[in-house]
Amino acid sequence: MRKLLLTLAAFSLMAVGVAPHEAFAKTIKNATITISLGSEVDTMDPHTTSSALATVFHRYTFDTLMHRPTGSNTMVPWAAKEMIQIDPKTIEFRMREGVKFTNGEEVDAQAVQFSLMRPLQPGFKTVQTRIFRVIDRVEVVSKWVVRVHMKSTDPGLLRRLADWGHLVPPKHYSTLSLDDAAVKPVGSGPYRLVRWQKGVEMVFEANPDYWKEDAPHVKTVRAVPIKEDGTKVAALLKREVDLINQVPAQYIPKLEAGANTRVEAVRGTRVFHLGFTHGMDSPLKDIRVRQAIAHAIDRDVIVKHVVEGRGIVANQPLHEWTEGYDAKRTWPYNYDPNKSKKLLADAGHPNGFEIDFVTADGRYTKDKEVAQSIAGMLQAVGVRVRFQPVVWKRFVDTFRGRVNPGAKPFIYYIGYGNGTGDSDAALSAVAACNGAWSAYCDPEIDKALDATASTVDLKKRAAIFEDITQRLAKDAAHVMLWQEDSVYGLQKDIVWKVRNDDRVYAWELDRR
Amino acid sequence: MLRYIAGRCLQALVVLCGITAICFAILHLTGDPAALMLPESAVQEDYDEIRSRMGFDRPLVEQFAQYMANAARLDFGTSYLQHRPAMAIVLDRLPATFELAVVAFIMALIIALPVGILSATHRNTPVDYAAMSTALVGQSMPNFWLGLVLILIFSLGLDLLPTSGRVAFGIEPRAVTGFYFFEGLFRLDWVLFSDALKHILLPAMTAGLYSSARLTRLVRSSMLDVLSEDYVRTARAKGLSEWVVVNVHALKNASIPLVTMAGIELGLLLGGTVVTETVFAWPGIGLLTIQALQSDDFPVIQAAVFLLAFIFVFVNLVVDVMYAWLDPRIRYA
Repeated sequence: MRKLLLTLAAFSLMAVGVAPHEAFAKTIKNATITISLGSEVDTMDPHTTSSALATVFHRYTFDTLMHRPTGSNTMVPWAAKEMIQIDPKTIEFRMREGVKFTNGEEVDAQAVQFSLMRPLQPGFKTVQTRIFRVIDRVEVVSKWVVRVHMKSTDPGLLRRLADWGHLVPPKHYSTLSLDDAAVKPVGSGPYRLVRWQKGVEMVFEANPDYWKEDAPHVKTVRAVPIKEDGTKVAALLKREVDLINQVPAQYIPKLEAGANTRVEAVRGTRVFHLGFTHGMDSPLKDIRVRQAIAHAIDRDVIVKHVVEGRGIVANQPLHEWTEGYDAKRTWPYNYDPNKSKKLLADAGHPNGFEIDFVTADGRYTKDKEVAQSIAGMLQAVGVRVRFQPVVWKRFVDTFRGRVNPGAKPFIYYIGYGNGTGDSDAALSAVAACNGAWSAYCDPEIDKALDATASTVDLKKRAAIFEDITQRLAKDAAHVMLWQEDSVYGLQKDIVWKVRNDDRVYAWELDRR
Repeated sequence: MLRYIAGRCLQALVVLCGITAICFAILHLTGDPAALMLPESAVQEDYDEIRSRMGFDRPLVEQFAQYMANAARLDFGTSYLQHRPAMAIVLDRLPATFELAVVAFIMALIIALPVGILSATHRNTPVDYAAMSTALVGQSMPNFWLGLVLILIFSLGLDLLPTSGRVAFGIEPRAVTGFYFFEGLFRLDWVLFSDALKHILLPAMTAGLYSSARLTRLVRSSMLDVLSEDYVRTARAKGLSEWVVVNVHALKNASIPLVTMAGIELGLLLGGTVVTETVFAWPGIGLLTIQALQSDDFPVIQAAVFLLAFIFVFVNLVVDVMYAWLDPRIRYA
């Protein structure tokens, strides 16, 4: 009991976050920065979507209670002045007095209550219920203090509150139609959306009354959706845009050589692996076959030549800034075709075997090319794959259809992007019995994942995640392949510290 | 003539109903929309929740009956992603597609008519060979490649035209409607017109060159057919100038197949030039439809397909009427 109390006390102290002190006076330059992140957000109603792009653009106009500083997995209070973990199932937020939404309503406890409960309203059409399902109720303690009571312990909630749970003015949004909420956002964020011409541009103008004294830096941020890579790069070279994301490898030298452009890269959050349909009757059931496949793949060749150095080989499904990532981890299956052939022979397949190999075509960086090279490597040791590059939708149907009667076993190539940094969500997705992208099932791993939900001690949680990834490697549950870099192209006069969570926040951008 | 038009209208209505029904059927055969709306970490409980909230768990027959009844009122529901009426979203994109299609079409005609006529009147000469070879190249070039090459030459190389978009930042508020190019032209707003023109030139060239190649070949072959007719010989024998013979007598009769083909080309251009719109970030219906297809936004797909089908059917109707006007034998048949 004493130990538990001490742990709780330690956790509480650790979890009491105080927003960083702002020491600079606010100066907003009369400048415009144009960015192109490929697509456009579907809606500016922050409580209806969970798309990755929305988590970026919604933060321009709305504040969240928490925030993830780049390079860190420790959430800090943002719109909240302080966050206190009262007990494992209760979090208290103390709001900044006097902060207002752009329509004049106050960002107080009631606004927090309304905003967190809005997606949970019955009949409200949203895909966010999963994000807040753990919330039992939100209690207004006083005008500036609010408590979130959870149904069960959920250490991931704070992380999710950095991406979702955007604060909206309650009076305005309780009468606003969904049509209007989708296009006319009103928040307390660093920018206001002043013009949105669908498919053409979103124009954000700095909120001069923003509570953060050293942000935003420039008056106007404009987002233009240019999907085609070649056009995006040409627009950057021609100074029509100032920042682009996901620069394809072939354009990097051109941007590096550009008179006004530069390239910045940072380790990304998407980790790729080869998966097996474990539950089905096939040679893949034998661990020696899975190990043989792992030994047959030259991951260095994939990283160096197929994706042209746009990443690193991955030894685990988690990335650097997530709990349980082990920087010293090595991959137990080095590239050794002879060993692979021997393992196949030992498993009763001296002449190899045939199997389907499914990959999405056009969803990830060079997905078809990577899978094609893997197919060649497997062919070389005798695993004759029937290569099936398919559109993403078809991939989803094939993956989910593996449980249908008559479905055939297969190997699949997939990437999991963990931009929220939630190890629990990532491992549940790729390795739990009912994980969205998991064809693997080990009740022990499920039990361990369940245990992390009620473990408040961060070290213990990390140890559990480490143990899980080790067990997955030992069982050759997947073949870990590579981790992608996030590559940005910028004008030389743009000041921006590249984030490693694929977010481009407007208030962090500046122009020299 | 009226009976002829009424018959064509009825046929058009049947086609529209058929397309609307097929669209519903195909979309529901291609997979579970909930699977594509949820992120990678979603679990079964999330899927069940979404299906229930969005109405995907209702019987398919019930969903279809409701859909057809609503479609008759042009109500295709609310976009799953944008949470706005689907038809309004599609109509927002209509001006961009309309402008691009019309300008591309005019460009195609401006190139195809003189080149086709010149090629026919100079049959088997270097002029003919050059024109036909260019048309063949124009028809063989993939749109995305041509678009990128044009950007490389005119935007990056010569620094004459912008790479993408419809107007430059700051110009857009000058327009009252979504028709920037035409509004600038008719309101004599030089700033708006010139900027919109600069932006539309490359996408219109990309979309128009392909159409112009096909039309050029057609103009040439139609003109060759007509130029060997007796009445052309008679016209020449009467002592009419070659210009009058070719452009007045021959061209009118050669234009019957041209009108049909031009109608189809315009219909295709209005239907959204997906590749051109993607390359130039041109916010038209084609690009919207592709985005909606990628994210399984059923209401938007259905509204877009309906509108595109309507446009195509309408253009064909106009072509049929013009055809009947040009050749009286058709309306009396």
